[in-house]
Amino acid sequence: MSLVEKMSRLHRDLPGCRSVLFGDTGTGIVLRACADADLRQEDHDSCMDDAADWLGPNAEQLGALVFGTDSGDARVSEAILLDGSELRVFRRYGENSCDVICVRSGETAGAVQVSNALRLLVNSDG
Amino acid sequence: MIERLGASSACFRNGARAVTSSGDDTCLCILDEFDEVVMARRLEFRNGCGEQLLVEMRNRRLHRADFASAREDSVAVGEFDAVSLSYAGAETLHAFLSALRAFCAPEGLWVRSMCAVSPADPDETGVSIGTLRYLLAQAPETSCQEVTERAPFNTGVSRVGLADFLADESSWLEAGLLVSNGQECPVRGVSDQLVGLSKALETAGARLASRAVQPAAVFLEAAGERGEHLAFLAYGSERLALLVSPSGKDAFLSRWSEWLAACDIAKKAFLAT
Repeated sequence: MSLVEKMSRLHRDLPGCRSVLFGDTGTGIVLRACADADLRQEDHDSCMDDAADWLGPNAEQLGALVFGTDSGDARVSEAILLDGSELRVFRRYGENSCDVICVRSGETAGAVQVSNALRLLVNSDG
Repeated sequence: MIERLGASSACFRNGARAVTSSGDDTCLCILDEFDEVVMARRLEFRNGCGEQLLVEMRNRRLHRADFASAREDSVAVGEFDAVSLSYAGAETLHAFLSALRAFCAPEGLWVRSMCAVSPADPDETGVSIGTLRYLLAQAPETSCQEVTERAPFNTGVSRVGLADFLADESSWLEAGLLVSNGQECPVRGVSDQLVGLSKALETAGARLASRAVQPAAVFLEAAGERGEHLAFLAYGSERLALLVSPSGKDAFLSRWSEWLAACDIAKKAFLAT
């Protein structure tokens, strides 16, 4: 099964899922999107901005402040953004990769399920 | 204007930027933001009362405005529906300015600039910012001070605070630091951990608060071998930084979902009274 097929399946099967994106946090470009029809490119770009923000150097700086700069613990492999109305999960597609998979969902109680599904998707392709 | 162009401002990765103003100046600051738009753009403003203002600018004129809010008793939204603005609609312009004053809340204001989405209508005229300034100066009867005395979204509406998030026995918690009204309150952990969490919370808390005024949390899964995770939570003026044990991810996320649900119930109960 190709990555696009897996993304489509996630979009279809995850409760409340609004979009599944594949993109590059280094350039902020969305390379592939499986999403509800009412979402626009602007919405995807905003999601990718969040992914770059919480997985990129800014997040690493936060980790370095707590774990120290010598440890590899500062690097963030997954970020979960959750408020009362929306869940966004971002996961690196590869250990040191700028590629990322993002899921945006209206089902705020499903964070664990989405996170597990993304880990499975990444590991099965890794 | 020159001073504003030269002033540094805190920008967030999602493009949101804090609008620094206070009291009666806030309306004028929003008009200044309109005034600085040259190309066709959509501006999104968010205030500390959970309200949102979306406007569309073209040809240096304001064409459309829409207020939205998550709360049912929103002052700004209650007075104004999405409309196209023109010189012919004097009542609409006054209604817009009245809603704009109500929108100028004390708990911070953020602006984000985006691409315009509505196609230009050949009949649209919009209004110049100079006109809005004139009307604002002519009709100061509704004091901004009056509306800034409204309770912000995060106070009084809900009796649930971030401190309640840790009320149960949180076995997954390795270290935690709560900041409420500027006061730091260590929850658990040794001093090195708490110092790091405090520094990290300054940055992460501001970034979370720029997203929305409702409760928000970010959970960061570290890639290293230690396996500990970081979490940052923001709700109104409260901030919480947590160091979560390697096996505590699911428990943290479940607890946060429960807390959000409890917060929502408390908010609805308050609004119903």
